[in-house]
Amino acid sequence: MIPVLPYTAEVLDSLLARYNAAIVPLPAAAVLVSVAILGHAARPVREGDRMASLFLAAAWAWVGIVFHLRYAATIDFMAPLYGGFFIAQAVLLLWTGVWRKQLVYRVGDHTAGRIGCGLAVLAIAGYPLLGLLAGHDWTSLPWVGAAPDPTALLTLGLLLTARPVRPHLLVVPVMWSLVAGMTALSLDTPERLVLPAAAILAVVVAERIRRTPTP
Amino acid sequence: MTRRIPHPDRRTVLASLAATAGLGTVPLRAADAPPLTRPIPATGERVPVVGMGTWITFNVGDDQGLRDRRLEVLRTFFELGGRVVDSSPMYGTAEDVIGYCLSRLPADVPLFSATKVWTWWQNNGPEQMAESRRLWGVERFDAMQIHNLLNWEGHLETLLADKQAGRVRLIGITTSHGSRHAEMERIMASRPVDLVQFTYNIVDREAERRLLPLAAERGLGVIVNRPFRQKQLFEMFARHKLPGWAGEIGCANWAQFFLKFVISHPAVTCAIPATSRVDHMRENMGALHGPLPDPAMRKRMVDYVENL
Repeated sequence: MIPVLPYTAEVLDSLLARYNAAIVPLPAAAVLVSVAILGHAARPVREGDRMASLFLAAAWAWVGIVFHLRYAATIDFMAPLYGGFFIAQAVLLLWTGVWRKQLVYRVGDHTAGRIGCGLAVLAIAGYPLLGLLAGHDWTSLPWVGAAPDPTALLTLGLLLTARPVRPHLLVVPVMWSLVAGMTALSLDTPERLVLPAAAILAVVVAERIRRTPTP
Repeated sequence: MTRRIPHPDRRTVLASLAATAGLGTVPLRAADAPPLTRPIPATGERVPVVGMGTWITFNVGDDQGLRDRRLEVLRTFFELGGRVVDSSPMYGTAEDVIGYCLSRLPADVPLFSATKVWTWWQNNGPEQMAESRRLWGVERFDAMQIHNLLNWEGHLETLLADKQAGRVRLIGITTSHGSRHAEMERIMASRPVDLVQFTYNIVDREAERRLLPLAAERGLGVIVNRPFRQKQLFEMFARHKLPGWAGEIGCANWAQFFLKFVISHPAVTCAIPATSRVDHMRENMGALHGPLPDPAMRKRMVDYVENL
């Protein structure tokens, strides 16, 4: 059974448009940083891994606090709960990637890395483009680092490039993907199904990596 | 009828609205024929049998264009004889949007205000209800209902004290989607509530078995939510032709067919369909007029949709 959301797609678009307008130029900056992180994963730079984790943590915290708690909470009684999970993910990323330095992002010469890189590109450019093709106004497009769906998608992609796999960091993005999938079905916005599809792919790939014996 | 707190900028707002094409140009007037009404047993006050819900439809955030469109929906509702408006703090910005609309309508619209208290904690109830009054711009609510029976024992204690003090006129309890009927039945049978709200429509008729007869027996007002099962009934049946005999009960469209089935149950006080469109509001309010189906016709209506 598809859950009924307390708002319509039209209202969500309106909220995203007001949110995007209010946080300019943050989405553009977040896109540039995301591209730089992908560049680092391909050709590593010093301290790049910690900086990438710091950016991801900041993005999750921003989306949790500003998008969910400040904006989405006005139309969705579930948003405070989502906000809490996003903040928790930010803390996990800080702890694992910045404090303990356990996240090393490398595209490398392996399938998982390439898939991860593909998901990251999808998050940065493909996801907003899909929204545009689906008929959403450009002002209401979801941008990586600012909106929950592409942020979760970027995180899933980058985590696939990291070794070893850190399953605990996949939990919240995968949970959000389920929410995004239900939102897509409830609001009849099939373009948002990209995220749950990507999450399934990420979980399958991560599990294969985990089961593959290291030489 | 709800006493509204005068909006400080009403005159200015109405003057500017009147100058705006499409807004304020339609005078408020009663429908030509008096609408069908039913008494609320606790007070004897009669209310029109079609009210308005606000779940999803009035949760439009700060979007000015959408707010103004809802203003026209509410204006049409009152123009066509509506009174009962139902909402909840759970519905996002719906209460805020209702207040926005009411502040732009004449102060004497015959509003019957019904909202809910929706919090786990009894201590938060008074604060939440005060916030609802502020958002709607009313001094007190005609009906305050305990949403989905959430902490109903605690909130009922608060509401009984509020009723004694004149802060609320009627106390209600709600559920929806056919859930928790047994618990609702227990409360209806044993506690001093005035109104109950639950789901009832031509497909979901579980309430006919126990809740509706018990409400009649106990003298409780009944507000029916989801009379269209959100919009599923239209998706299920609207592609089919309305039966020729629908005209006998004054139904010109499926909305009126579904609504007349609900409001013709003798225990029902009013149904609260929600809509975001003026044309749909006009269709809904058409059910306020003409004959109501008798038991034989009600059975015919059920048989018809079950065989589609």
